[in-house]
Amino acid sequence: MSHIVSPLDSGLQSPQPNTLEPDTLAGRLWAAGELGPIDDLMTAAVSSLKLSDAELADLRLYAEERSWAIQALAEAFQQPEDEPDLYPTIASFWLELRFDWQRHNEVMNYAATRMTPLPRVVGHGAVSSAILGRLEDLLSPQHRDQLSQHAIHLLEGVLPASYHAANSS
Amino acid sequence: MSFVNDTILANLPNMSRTEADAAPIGIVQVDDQGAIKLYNKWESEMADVPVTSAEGRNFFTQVAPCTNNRLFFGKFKDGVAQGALDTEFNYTFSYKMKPTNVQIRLYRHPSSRTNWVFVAPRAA
Amino acid sequence: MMVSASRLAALVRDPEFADTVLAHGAAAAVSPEDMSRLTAYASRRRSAILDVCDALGAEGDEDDFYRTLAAVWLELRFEWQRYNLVSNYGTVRHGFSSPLPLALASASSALMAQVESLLDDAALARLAEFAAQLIEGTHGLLSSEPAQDPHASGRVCCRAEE
Repeated sequence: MSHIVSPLDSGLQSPQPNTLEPDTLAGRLWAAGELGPIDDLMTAAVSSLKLSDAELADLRLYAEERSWAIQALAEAFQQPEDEPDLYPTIASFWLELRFDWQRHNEVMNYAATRMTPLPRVVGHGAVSSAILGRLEDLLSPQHRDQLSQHAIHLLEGVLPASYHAANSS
Repeated sequence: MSFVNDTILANLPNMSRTEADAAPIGIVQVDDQGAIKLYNKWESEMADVPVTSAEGRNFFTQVAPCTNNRLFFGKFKDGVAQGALDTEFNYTFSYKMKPTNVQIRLYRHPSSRTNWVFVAPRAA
Repeated sequence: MMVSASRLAALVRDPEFADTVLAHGAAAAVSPEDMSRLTAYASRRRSAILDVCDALGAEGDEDDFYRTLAAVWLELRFEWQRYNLVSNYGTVRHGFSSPLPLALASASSALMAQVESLLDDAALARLAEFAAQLIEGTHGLLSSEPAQDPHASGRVCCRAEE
């Protein structure tokens, strides 16, 4: 793994937290992306996993990137008139993170049935899940449920009708 | 001063495909829902989308999905709803291309009530 | 044509896969520090796809593999939409955008294009429509106020801390 740079050190234009009212949706999103709590969740999530230093560093970088991404979104949508557009964007981000977690979960479980479990993948899944939890409180439970069910339904129908017919001969 | 010169604007309702293709900027005519009626050569080459693939499809939701938001498509819809649209802003395209900085002008020609999207490159 | 895990793995192992991401970074003029983050992003995406190929590459897994690949595409699509919005809100509001979101927007869409070459067009169109409607706020699932139902959670299961 090459030199790891924290987004906080990278010279990124940092969002200005004091311009975000804490009780607005953007303010709450900003708070959800704070690195401290995410780092704590990550540390707790991976404490029982046997990860190498490089794998731990990779996970930390992943957590930092997610923190930055959440706060960049909050900053972009910080104007009061943006709030109606921010909610569906958060819903989309939540679903994106859910797919991330689900993929790790699937790989982890397939790997467990066929070969040695991958602690690196388990770790990533745990961090994804922790970050996902930070966003969940910003969405209604019904929307979360309906969106994930709809996405699953869409994905169940992605196989083209000709998929097997074209390959059975 | 706009990057779209007055000659182009004056000629809009009657602009031929040949004239549009000769322009050094992107010229896209869309209907009130965003379906492309004319997609000029410059825009086709910039976006790497063949003209035949673009015309008939929705500019905002299908051909240039990075415009499908309140900042861009929202301004278009508001302008069409109000019957008046002439706004210019900077934007960046990123869909299946390297980040491309552009200037945009959204324009509704008053007498013909036709809608136009103009695109030109912009220095970063 | 059936998509094979080995075909996807070969595509991802090709140096062009990572080079594509880094080329978008260079085009966005990101700083050297941010280029290292883009490198980490490319590496993470590559590992993630290879993990899927390894886990779901056995005979009999083809349907699950295809669906998971479609989910990867949708994830990339959401990611691209998000970075596109973040960078363009910056551009429109302040006249500039940080290079890193721009680079990530282009990079994720380039990766999306590589994955979608293996998937069915009609299915992709449905997924793209869902993703676009969702972020616009026009999808029916988000258009009404939800009732307060304490029993519905939608929370993910199997969290490490549970």
